Amino acid sequence: METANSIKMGTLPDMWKQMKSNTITFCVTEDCNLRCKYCYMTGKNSKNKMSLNTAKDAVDFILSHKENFTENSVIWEFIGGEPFLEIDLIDKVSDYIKLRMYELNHPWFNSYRFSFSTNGILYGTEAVQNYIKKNKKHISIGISLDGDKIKHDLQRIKKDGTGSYDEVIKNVPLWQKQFPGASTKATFSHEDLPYLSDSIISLWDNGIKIVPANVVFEDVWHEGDDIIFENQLKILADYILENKMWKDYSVRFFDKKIGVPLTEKEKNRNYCGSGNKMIAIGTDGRLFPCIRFYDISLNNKKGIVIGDIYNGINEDLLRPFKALSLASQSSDECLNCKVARGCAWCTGCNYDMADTNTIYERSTAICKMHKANVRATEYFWDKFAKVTGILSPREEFKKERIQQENIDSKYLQFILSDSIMPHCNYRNLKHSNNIMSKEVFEKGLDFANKNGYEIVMLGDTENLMGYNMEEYFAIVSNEKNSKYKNFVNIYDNEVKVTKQVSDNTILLVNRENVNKIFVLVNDICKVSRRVNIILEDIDKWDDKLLYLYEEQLDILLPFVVQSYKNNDPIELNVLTDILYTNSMCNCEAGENSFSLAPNGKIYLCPAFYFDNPNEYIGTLEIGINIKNESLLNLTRAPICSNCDCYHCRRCKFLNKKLTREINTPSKIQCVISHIERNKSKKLQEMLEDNNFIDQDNYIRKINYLDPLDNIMKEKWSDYNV
Amino acid sequence: MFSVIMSGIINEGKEKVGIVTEQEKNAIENLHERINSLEELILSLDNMDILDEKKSYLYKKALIDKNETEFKYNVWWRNMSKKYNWKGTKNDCWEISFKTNEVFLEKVNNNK
Repeated sequence: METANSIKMGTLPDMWKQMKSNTITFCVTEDCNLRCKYCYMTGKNSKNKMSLNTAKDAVDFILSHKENFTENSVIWEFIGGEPFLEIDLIDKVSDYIKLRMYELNHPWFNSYRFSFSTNGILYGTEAVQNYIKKNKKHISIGISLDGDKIKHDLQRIKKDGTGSYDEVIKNVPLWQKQFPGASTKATFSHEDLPYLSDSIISLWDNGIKIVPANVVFEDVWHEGDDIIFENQLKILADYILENKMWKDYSVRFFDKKIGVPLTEKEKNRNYCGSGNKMIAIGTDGRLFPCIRFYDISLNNKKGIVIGDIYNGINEDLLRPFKALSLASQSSDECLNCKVARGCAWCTGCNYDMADTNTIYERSTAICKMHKANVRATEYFWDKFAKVTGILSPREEFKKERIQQENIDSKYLQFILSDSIMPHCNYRNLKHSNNIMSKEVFEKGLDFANKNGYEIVMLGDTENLMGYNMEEYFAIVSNEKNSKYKNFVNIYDNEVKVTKQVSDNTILLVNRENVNKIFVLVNDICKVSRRVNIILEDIDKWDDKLLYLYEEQLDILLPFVVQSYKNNDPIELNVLTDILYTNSMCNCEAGENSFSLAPNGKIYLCPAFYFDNPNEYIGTLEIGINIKNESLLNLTRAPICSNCDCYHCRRCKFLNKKLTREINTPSKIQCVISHIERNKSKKLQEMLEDNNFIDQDNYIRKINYLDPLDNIMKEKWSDYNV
Repeated sequence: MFSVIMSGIINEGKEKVGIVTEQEKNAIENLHERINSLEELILSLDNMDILDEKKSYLYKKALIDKNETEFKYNVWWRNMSKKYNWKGTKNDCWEISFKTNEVFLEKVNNNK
């Protein structure tokens, strides 16, 4: 039976010591025997070549600076122009490398490779073949074959303008015999998109089974190119499926993992090795973060020289490369893009295209092409599932991702009727009595499954008899739950403990019951370990209620400490959550959580539905479309993004209701959160004094309850009229 | 029993007989790579532009080094096969995948 592991489609070739080796690139010549139209090395010439002495000095420099090259493995890469134009030099340098690594007893002697990207024309020559024989077990050679003859000769031309396909293809059988499983990186630009599917098929027919194809990063795209690209990929997809080729063949375009939102971890990573584990050496011994920053590789900027082999590396010039991450170079639109994963970049190309001399401005020239790729990938894997009848590797990946990255799980709450017990800042004050129909329910389930939402049932209804509700997670009144096995109890301003008890609970507290918070929490904690207090109608709170609330929190402090003493610590959202997080952990309504109402429309959360049913953000038929979506993000909330009340709920409904802006909290929300914060600080000290916790992230002392006061002070402190 | 390492593609259909730890894999991979490096260094010495005396010294040193490394390499296979009690007969070969740490059995009539 096929499994995800047995399907090659969409995979890349195995890379030796992937991400665990240093790459040292020697630019041995700036000359090339071709003039490929899409080549980024626009300054090719026959003048500049590396001398043997420079190469040897470079080797000595690299081997004597272990502190700069800390990986246990190394890839010695030879590039041009066309590297095989200088095979004699390469041969001598390689010998020298082997000799010096051995003499110095360098750990790299036990773990190195010589790597080449060649146009393939000189591959069969005696000098190249002798080199291969001598270094057979340490070589990796990639020949650039772009597809069929039409496509290849469109771009990969000789100096006289004629195509190079015939000369390259005759060396391919020998190359494949010497390096079984070798792959080629087919590159596509504007002119050759119409030949894409034929090109990939041609490569497969020639025995090159894994094709890490890509589109160029440069801004060469015309209006409509994304549609041509998508259509070509769909033709290719149909071909693969008709001929059942998914098991043994691959093209990178159908990578199962592209086109999903980024996780926070991924946003903080950098997928380009430039300036990190990579360094390039120019023909004259100058050092560059990678070959793409070499002078002849750039059209609009000067090369970035980070040192040379005689004077060493300027570490300060490498710092921007080491610190570079996806997040620090990308716009909010890119970071929040729902299909961001797999959208690649080249740091050198970004630099060349940036408005200023920075590497921190990510080009979006391939945005449409990436989205087209994602659409085609969805098409392929969707059809794969239908054709084979098995779960596609893409669906498996999406499910695993949701499980592993809980913060990125998406939820769809089903408001089963208007009479549900609220679990947050809402009440059905209009006393409507809509009930979710079976039709809406089933459509909702289908929508959730298709779009990767976890389902959460709010309440219960007799209308759905016959459905196995046991399998769903629910948030439900503690008095009315009879069906669900996996649930969170809601206590609405009083505690009546029933048989159906959950460890995680919600306690609604209105103004009349603020002075009873301790008693209510105490009662709940006799049967449950976690209480999420939701304060209702805070827009009507006054100073007296704030004072009462503070009192109740003060009474709760020793209660919580005692639970630690009893070795059975309780969790109280308003007091203990902040102790265990160092970033905002708030309501994700509109980001990862949405609500489906009985009317079949989708809302940011139930509060928006009950307040105004016309304020929906989508339907089951059309999907979700939020205007000014980025305003839901923490980065667009100027007060919250600088706040350390990580436990704060940041209720978007209350924001909108009280300040008119979804990204701006009201004063009362901020004051309450800061009161809680300060009590948490006290709790932290009490727990530390008793050695119940040992924390690094101390809650610091502050002298304000409204962070806006602080922001205003800083904003206007230097202002002179 | 011969012990062969295949760092490339393990042919499908070969029987998996065991798996080693990452540390154990690293040890044999290191030895395997070193043997390859020494072989190719020895091969390259003839054409190197260095004094004959140095050439001769390095040649002998590398040869001794290679023999010692091959000895360690065989010891590894002997020790691991005892530890894990891998299936196989006198004339069979074992192969290891450096990617998955799995050990496979190559039957005698597949030997080249």
